[in-house]
Amino acid sequence: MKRRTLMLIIAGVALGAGTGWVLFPLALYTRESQPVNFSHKVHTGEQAGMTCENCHDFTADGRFSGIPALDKCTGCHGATIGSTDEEKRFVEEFVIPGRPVPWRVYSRQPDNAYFPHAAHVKLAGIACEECHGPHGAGDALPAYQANRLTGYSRDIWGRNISGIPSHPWEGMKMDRCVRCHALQGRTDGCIDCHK
Amino acid sequence: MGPTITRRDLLRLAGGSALGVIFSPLPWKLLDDSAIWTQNWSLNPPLSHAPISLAYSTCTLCPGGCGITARCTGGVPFSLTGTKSHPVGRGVLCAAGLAGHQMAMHPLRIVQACASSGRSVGAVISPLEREKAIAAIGAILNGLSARDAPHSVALIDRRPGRALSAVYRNFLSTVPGGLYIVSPSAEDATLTTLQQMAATPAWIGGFDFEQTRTLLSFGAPVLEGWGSPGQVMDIWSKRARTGFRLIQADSRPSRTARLAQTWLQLRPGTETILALGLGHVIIRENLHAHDIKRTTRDFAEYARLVARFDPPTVSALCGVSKESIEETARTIARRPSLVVAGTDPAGGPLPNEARTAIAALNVLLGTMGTRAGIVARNPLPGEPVMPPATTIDQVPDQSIRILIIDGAESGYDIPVSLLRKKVHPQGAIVSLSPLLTPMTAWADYIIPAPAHLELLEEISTAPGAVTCSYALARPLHPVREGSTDPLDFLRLLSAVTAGAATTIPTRDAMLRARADAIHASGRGKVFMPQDGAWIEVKGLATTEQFWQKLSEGGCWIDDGPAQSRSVSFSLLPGGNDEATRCLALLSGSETPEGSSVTVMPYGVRGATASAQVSPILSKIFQESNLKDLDGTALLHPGTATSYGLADGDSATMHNGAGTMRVVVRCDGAVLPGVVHVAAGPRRNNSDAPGCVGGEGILSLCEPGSDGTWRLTTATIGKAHGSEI
Repeated sequence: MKRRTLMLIIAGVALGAGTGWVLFPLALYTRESQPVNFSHKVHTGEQAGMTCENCHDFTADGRFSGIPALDKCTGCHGATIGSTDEEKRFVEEFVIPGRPVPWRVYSRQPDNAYFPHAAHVKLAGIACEECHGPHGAGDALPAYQANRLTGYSRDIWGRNISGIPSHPWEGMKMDRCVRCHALQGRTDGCIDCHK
Repeated sequence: MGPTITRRDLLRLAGGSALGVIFSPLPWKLLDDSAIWTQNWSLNPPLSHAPISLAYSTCTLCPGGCGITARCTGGVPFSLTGTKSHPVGRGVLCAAGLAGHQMAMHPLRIVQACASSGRSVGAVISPLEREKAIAAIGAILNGLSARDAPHSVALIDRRPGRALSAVYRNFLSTVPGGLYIVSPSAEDATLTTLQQMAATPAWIGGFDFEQTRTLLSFGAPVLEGWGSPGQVMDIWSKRARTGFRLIQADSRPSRTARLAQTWLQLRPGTETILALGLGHVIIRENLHAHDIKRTTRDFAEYARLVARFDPPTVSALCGVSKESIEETARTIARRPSLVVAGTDPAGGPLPNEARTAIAALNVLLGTMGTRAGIVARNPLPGEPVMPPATTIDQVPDQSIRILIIDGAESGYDIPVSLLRKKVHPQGAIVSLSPLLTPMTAWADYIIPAPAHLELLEEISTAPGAVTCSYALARPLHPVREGSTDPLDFLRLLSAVTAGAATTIPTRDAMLRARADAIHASGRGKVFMPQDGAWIEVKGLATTEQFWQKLSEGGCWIDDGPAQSRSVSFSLLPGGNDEATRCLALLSGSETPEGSSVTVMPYGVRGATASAQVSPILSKIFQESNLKDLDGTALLHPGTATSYGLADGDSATMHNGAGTMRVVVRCDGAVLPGVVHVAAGPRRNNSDAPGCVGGEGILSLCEPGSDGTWRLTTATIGKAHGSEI
């Protein structure tokens, strides 16, 4: 093979691979910031000393409340208690007018997927971090990236575009559920999770 | 000058790029995302992420009446499950019931009145204003004269016993030549036959399955959705403890036959012979009830008839060994036992003689009116006493000028050819179905009714139950615009029909009247699905309180079976004619001529040719092989080889009624020379809008003079090219 041909093919491979690995994710996902730059670190650190369950709790009938509603926040932030501009904006834009915060949920699953937190957290004793990672220690919320084709968050597929998780908690697709259930020796039918 | 870029260079670069892309996540991720994107063509309505709430209702997809617990968000149901501890459903829902909330969004949903250009496969169905359609039907009605009688207007009720059924009957009584018709008996075939054999016609019975120990079923799909599936599966699951034993007499290697403790594989169409053979052994060995002469009117005549059906003769005709016949007779004689006649959801009922011979075994064994047998049941309070309804096979051919087909689903097929035979060539057919099906497509006018779980409906006693029950099916969806409540249809039709002077009640008033009657009886108690509590009807002071409990998803159950009273039965209700017809069977049935095979259609309740199931179920059935899809032909490998066919081949079946393509599946358990063809569930491609799909195997079945279509003959051969 002539050197020129080889060079062109290598250049093409580099171009194709570059497109697939770099440009494609940029084109596939939108980037949207959260309405409030919430700091988990401030809340779970030594100063506030809160735990996950303080905000992401279970309702009286055993269901998981998910993202806390505004009244959870107003318990402390009825008025500004800190010194940051972000908190001041949060109080002015959401707390005072009583407007719910339109959080973008990184782990939102399809409507037909039924995931009971109670069974996993209370019965199986799985820690929040095992699925959601250590974001409870993060100082800022990562940008929410929505897949333009499917509408789901990038966190469902995993941050790594290859689909190979960089961390054990990455990815929330069905194969992860199936793998974990297989390891636990669980036998499930379709309608256990799909309603 | 730099190097020149040629077209070949660009191609090399592009080829390299293509290679590079393959080694990147792009194609694989796009494939995955595209798959998810297609999943978003959802039949479900968009759901809000409001808090999840529970709603309770009752399934009306078949007469079973299972309790439904719906998980809803924003008031929209997104999943259904069986209501825990429900007295009828026992916490179980069948596959069709689990996807019932999707029926309102079915792609073949009809939401506008339509008119058809003709009764053929290629007929064009065009939208028509509802009032114009009803005016056209009224004009035909008004144009009928006495000479068009006897049956100018007929309505076929696919789920009799409802308050709506009584309204239908009242309406028809005011129309000249009005005739109320019901489908051929299905799960209640044995009880209906016993009713005809009883000296007291008003006698109503139910099967005491819970207590019985041996069930001999002649082809009833006991373990495949029969009666209330939850109750049957509950009894079956406890068989090791209770000693419940199932004997299945069936030609087809059905799921029930394979699971039964004993499978008597008899030749097609020999059920009557086997039943009479069992009667022979029971009488010969003196295993019958000791008071048989007191409880029957014609025991001597029956004994004379069955004397001719000795085990060697029966064995030669049925293909069941002499020893098995004798052993089965002795087993069912060890009471408590029950004998039931089956109706296949697609293959239809057994002939009259077979139903009578099978039902007579219950009388012979003394199971009538005894615990663990067939016990008398109280009528539902408020149920008007009416003369027995006419079944479709009793209607003279070409006698109906206007046939109205009720939209309720019975779960059982009626071949279009059977209806076609009964309608006058210039007659009109009106369908009230909410879904496009082969039967609907054949209608001249379609006035679509609201879909499943859109309308407040009622569901009363499940077929064969020993105590009556009553529940409301609370709507979970709003009524789709363009649908017409059958009561409104009757009201509009009355307005344009001269002489039809009947008052059509409102739906609420119609159902409340029945609830009031139940409350007034003071009988029974109400199961509440919210907490599983039982409330005595006597403890509910007002009818409004009782109605409220039913509206919340409550299920009323009667106190228990009726007081047993002595009823005498005729073992040969058809007299000498019946005996003669039975004796004629001893000469053996005609074997198909030449290269023909015996064809038997079969199906699954609620998923046959005339029914539609949720497309998600069609997809699951198609991809999982959980059910034999329409056009699956089961053949013995030897039969297949003799016709040059192999497993998986595409073949065509042909007879005088038509031609259809089937997919061959070889099964060593099928009898040689017999082909069992599935009539449903339908394949997914037939659910595409605009493609109703044909009637399948039922289009090859010509109903006989007795209204049965279980057996037909056809030729079979390998399909070539685009042969249909």
